[in-house]
Amino acid sequence: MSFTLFGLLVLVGGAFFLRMIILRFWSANSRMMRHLFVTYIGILLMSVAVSYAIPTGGSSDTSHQAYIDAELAAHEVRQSFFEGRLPESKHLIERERWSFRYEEERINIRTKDDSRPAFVLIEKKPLTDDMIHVTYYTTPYVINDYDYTHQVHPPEVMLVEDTIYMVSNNHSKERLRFKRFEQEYYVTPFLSSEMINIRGIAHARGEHLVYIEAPQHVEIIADDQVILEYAGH
Amino acid sequence: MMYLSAANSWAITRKLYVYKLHALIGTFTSLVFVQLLALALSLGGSSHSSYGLGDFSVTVDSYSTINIFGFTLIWVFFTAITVHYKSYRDAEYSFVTNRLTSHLSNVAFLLTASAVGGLTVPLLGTLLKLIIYWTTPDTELVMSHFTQSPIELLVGMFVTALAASLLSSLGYVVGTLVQMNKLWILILSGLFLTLLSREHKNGILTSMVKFYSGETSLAFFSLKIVITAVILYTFAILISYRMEVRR
Repeated sequence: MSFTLFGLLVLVGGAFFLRMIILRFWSANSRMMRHLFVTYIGILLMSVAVSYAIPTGGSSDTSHQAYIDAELAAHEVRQSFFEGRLPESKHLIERERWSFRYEEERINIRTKDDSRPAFVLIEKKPLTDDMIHVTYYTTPYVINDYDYTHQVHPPEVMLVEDTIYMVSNNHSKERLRFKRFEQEYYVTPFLSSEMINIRGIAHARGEHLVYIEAPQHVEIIADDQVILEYAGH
Repeated sequence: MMYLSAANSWAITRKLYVYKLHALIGTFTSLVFVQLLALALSLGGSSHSSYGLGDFSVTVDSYSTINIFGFTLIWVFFTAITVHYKSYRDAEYSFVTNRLTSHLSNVAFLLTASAVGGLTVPLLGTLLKLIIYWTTPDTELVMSHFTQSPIELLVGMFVTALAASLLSSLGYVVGTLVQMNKLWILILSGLFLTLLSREHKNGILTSMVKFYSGETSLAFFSLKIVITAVILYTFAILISYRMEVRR
């Protein structure tokens, strides 16, 4: 318990304020006061009834299964990537797909997101049409049981001369804000184990994977922020 | 003779209790005001968490009834102190009463106030959730813990009522001591502030709170509270016997 002068002043001031309120109403004894209190209780009881009528879209499931699935999917993506294969997880979401005609012998891959490395899986194919196909995958972004993947913009992938750039699709920093309800801490210890849930925030940040299908003869050179793996290797 | 006397005491206590419930309806109105104040403060969120990496950041505002819970406990504490106020005590002498019946009716009134406080905190928590729900776009709302099961609500009410009854018994002792001698205001305030200023992880106040809040069995939690409240109320009644009949 930390103690500061400001905290003390707030405590003492708050106590006097509450005392004032109690004394203010203490001597009041009118029918209006009684009606006010009964109305208040009525509103509170109605709010409970209304809360049960609100559809929660399954999100009120407090097992945090969506979060657990998202974390497992992210783990599976990393594991599969380093084994040189595309993960088979049902939680892997294809967000965007680009195709470019490219006839040169070499191509560079660069990312402009320096927050974390980009996992790029290359599949060399004996393509006859000189096309490069880029697919952007992500695992779910989840807070507790709320999936907000659709609110996170995929990057823009563009071919400029001999380089594929992966650029954040946001000109400014992407800021998302959410509101959530805590399980009351004074209730949690007394509920049976099945009803006790993670009180804190369970946040899974989706894992990204860029899958590139390129002609067999094209040599691929990546910058430091790109981790390359070749399918089947 | 003893039987009749005892029966009369209970009857007087009951009459006094009913009288106080009607006379002190303003107490419950003050609870409404205090809880609405706590509700207004809770609308800003009880905690905020941020996750950021590079171009991407997520902020999560968490909402709970912690403010409402705390304000209700403070309310019942001050209600227990003010029940000793002289102007009010004078009114009850229109009844044929003694100090014991007066105390018992006070205790019954404070337990009722604690029960009402306990009932309203989880209910008001639901209203808080509804307000957040109606004022927040769907894309920003994490709905887990939105709906409380009836068992969760009942446990919440019971636990809050117990905590409130503990605080009311503590407030009753403080009120009784202050009624005996106003010097107790200085002594108790000084003692509390000293304990607060020297509080650390294993301090007295923290240990006292942990003694109750660390309990995971509802039965043992209830037992601890009931025993403590009985001790405190009995202590208050016993020390008041040392006072003059009407002070």
